[in-house]
Amino acid sequence: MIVLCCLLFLFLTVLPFWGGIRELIQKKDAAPLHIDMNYTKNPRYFAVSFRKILTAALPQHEPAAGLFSCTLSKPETVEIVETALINQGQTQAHVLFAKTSLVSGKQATFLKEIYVKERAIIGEGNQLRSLACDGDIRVLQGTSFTRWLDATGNIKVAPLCNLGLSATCTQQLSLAQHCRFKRLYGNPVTTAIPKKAVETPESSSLPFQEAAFTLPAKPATANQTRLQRDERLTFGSDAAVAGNQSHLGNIIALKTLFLGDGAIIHGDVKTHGSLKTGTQITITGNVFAEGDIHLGPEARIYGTVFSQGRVVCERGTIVGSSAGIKSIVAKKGIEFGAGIKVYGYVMTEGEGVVW
Amino acid sequence: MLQPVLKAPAHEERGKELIMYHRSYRKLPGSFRTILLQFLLCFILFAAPFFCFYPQVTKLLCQLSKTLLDSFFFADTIKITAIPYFKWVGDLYYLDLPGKLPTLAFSLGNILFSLMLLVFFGFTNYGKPLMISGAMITAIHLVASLFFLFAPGGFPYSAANYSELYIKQQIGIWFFMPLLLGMSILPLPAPWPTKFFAIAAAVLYSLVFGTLRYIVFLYIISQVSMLYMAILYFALGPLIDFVYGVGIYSLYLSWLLKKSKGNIALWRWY
Amino acid sequence: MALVLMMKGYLLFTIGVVLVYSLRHFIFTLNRLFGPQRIYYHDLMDSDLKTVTVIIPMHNEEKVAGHILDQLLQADYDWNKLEIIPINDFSSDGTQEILDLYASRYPQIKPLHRAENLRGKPAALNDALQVAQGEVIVVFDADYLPPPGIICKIAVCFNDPEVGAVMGRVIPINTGSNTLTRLLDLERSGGYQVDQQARYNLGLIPQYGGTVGGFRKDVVVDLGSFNTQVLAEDTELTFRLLLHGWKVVYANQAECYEESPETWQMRSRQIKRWSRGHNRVFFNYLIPLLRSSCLSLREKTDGVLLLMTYCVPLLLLLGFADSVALFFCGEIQIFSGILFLLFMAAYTTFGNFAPFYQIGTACLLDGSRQRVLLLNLLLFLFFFNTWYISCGFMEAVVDSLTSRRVPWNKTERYRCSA
Repeated sequence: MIVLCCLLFLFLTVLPFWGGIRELIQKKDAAPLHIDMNYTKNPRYFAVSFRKILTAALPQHEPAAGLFSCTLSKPETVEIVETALINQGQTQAHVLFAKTSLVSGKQATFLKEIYVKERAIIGEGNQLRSLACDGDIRVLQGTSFTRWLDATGNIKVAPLCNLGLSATCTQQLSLAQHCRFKRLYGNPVTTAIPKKAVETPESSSLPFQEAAFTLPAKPATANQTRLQRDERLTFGSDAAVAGNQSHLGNIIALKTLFLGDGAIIHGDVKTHGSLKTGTQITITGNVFAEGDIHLGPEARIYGTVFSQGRVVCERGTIVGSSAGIKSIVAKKGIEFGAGIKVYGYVMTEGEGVVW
Repeated sequence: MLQPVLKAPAHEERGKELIMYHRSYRKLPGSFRTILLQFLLCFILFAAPFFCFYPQVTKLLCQLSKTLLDSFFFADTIKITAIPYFKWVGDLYYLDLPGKLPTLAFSLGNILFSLMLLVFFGFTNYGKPLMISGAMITAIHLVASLFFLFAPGGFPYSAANYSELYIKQQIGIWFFMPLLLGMSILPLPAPWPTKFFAIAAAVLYSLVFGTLRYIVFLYIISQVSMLYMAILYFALGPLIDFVYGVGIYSLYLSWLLKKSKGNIALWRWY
Repeated sequence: MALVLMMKGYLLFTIGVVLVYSLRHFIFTLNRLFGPQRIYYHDLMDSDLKTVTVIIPMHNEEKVAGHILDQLLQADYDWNKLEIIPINDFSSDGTQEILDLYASRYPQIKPLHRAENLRGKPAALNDALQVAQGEVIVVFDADYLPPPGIICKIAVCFNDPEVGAVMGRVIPINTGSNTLTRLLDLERSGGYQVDQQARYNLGLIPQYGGTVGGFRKDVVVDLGSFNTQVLAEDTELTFRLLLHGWKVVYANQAECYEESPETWQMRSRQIKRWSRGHNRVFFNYLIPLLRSSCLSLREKTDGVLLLMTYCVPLLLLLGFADSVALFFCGEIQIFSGILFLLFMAAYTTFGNFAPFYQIGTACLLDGSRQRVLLLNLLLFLFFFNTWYISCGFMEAVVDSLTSRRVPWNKTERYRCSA
């Protein structure tokens, strides 16, 4: 009996190692963690990838109209049409490829992806999965996307639309009131003045005057700020830059920072709390905050805006310039007022909304 | 108490079902409060009973061990002894039995063997981590052998002392094992009954293993030699308890990972 | 009697230390699982990123030199703002020829050949800093395989005026080679996916690791460049930056493959070197860290624990010896019940810089499945690490006392050359 006890004891001692030893021998999970060695950041990634996959799957460069079965990420049926006219309330069940344009009536539903070669006009209250268009896209009121939309031209979105995970285009992306979004990319991304947007959604010109793209002149007496802590303006508690004051150099605030009306900062701003600004402030560099960022009316930011909280841009805020690409990235959410202009990328993991 | 893995994703999370994000900022839904509640339940179900009923458990353990070891001893040389432990709970029981002191030659033989092993461990480059672990354990045995060679009368423990020590240590293991497993398993995204099942399995393993080890240890120090007390204590003591604790954790986690493969609803981002 | 009391006291101290570390890592694990994740800057798009110099220290790296240069040539960074400086540091193999070949084909690659002055990574980096044109320096070890987007991900954080250095995530590529590489893979996962990210989340001290990372050139030059007396130039830089008010950030999505050591002998040398270097930093920076006015209390607390990381295995080893001594003194009763258990619990859980629950959590987050079964085998790595880290500690003590010059030992490569 004691021998049995000893054997059982030995067995129970080595048993816990059994799983590990088996895995060492069988090597079921011995591959390195996957890193995509081809990945480069592209805000239009979804659409570019979809176009590439669909184009490769189609039988020829100019495919004939009709239904066509192919494998995209999984086996799909692609409906190829010259011009797609989707009636009111109609449901499109297949992947749709329109060789010219797409026009949909009210309340249409698209269960699969759409690729339009020229122009797309999406009617009111439509439900779409994803839409890629090689021209302009116009989205009418109350339409909703679950994944993404992308255009190689302009995108104009009417009020009360939900733009899914991503809305991107190579030219202007203009949003009307009460639109919701997560990622936007345009050159620029704009929000219209509500009244005019409702009356003339086709209007291409924005109703505000953009400030000149030239940076404001630096104070003559100030020295060039070097990147040393001792030479940075560092606040240990809640701090403020008074209205119409000009400051040369980076500002780092350990708590909340207030910028008064008309304040001009020649440099970057970082705050470990929140940033709140008055009207018509200017920051020539980047803005970073561990808390929320609230940019007052007609703020002018030449750099990038990044927040671990929310970003609120009141009317007339301009971020970046036509000379390049800048971003607004906020972890918890973004709120845009009217007349916003962002040259580049807007992204939040929370919810983006236009007032 | 429902676990997130069983939940339908909230409306605002539906988009995440459709496009898989990178692993970098994955996290789990859930709250510290839920985990704390589960931990309390774990304490009440598994840890507290050991503390409240250790007199009964240790008595049962001793009775079982005595039954198995009785045949190796003369009558009345092995008996169950009770000593006060926590006065509000009751006495602690252990087996009182005679140990076997090593002879001079036996100690010398063990010294030589330990030295040879140490030389082997020191000069071999194969299986380095095993060699280092082995060398540490052998060094303890060498010290024990030297102790019995030079001061056999000075060894501070009798077999009964050792038996008492073991039981006290085992109560600690039984008490803390479910708590340690609870700390590591309860935060995992799985239905709570499966988590408690895994903890219960560890407790059961601990009960069986602890009992077997007690019988084997007592057999060795009473029938082979007390020289092995130290090595048994340090090499096959609580260290091994954590090995099977971690083993059960890794088995459970492996099962959970297999089950939840491709379940995007499991995750939240940022 | 007094000696026994001291021994008991020391053991209680050791138990306290390991419990503090166990608790710290449990907090990290919970934070990584459920806490709000502090996002890195990788989502930022900016056409005005800073100029970058990629530096790759190389000593006899003919097996891997071509691989990393090929990878870097695919970078999606603006090539008008990017240069690559591979440093041929006293190589006696074909490294120089490989670098010259690449330089003749690609003007962005500007090799720096070193055959004089001090050898070693810190000295080589210092020489490269003198010729680098970039505002930001990105460093890769020669065995790394950087994906095309990683330079952008690393450089973008320097838009934040407070960031002095950044660290990316290291992922072993030769995971399946043998038992050692499989265990190191687990250790890496726990260390980056949970530990570094949790420290970043909690506003503590993510550590710059000397590779897959970057720093501001002007800041480092102003602070005196790299200390050639210290083997852990990365840890030293982390603390130097912190003490001057700069922050170190962690980029969990800036992932890069590395080659882990494949022999225990090589691993023992590597970890001894890390311990030796890290402990020198511990000796030099503990007091300045505690006295710093730039750091918060929580940063200081984490900083002390971080500095002590390579000291704890020695404390454990001494604690183990202490417990054996107490056993033979007949004072083992100190352990009865909970204390001994707690000691052993902490002992086995802390073994590999990351306790088992932290590594398990990393496997969960990474979506690994079977490799988590190897957790038990980390027990052997623990004994191994404890021994060699303790040896490294002793060498660091001698280094500090004698101010002797420390030799730089390169880690061997196992990849087949192109």
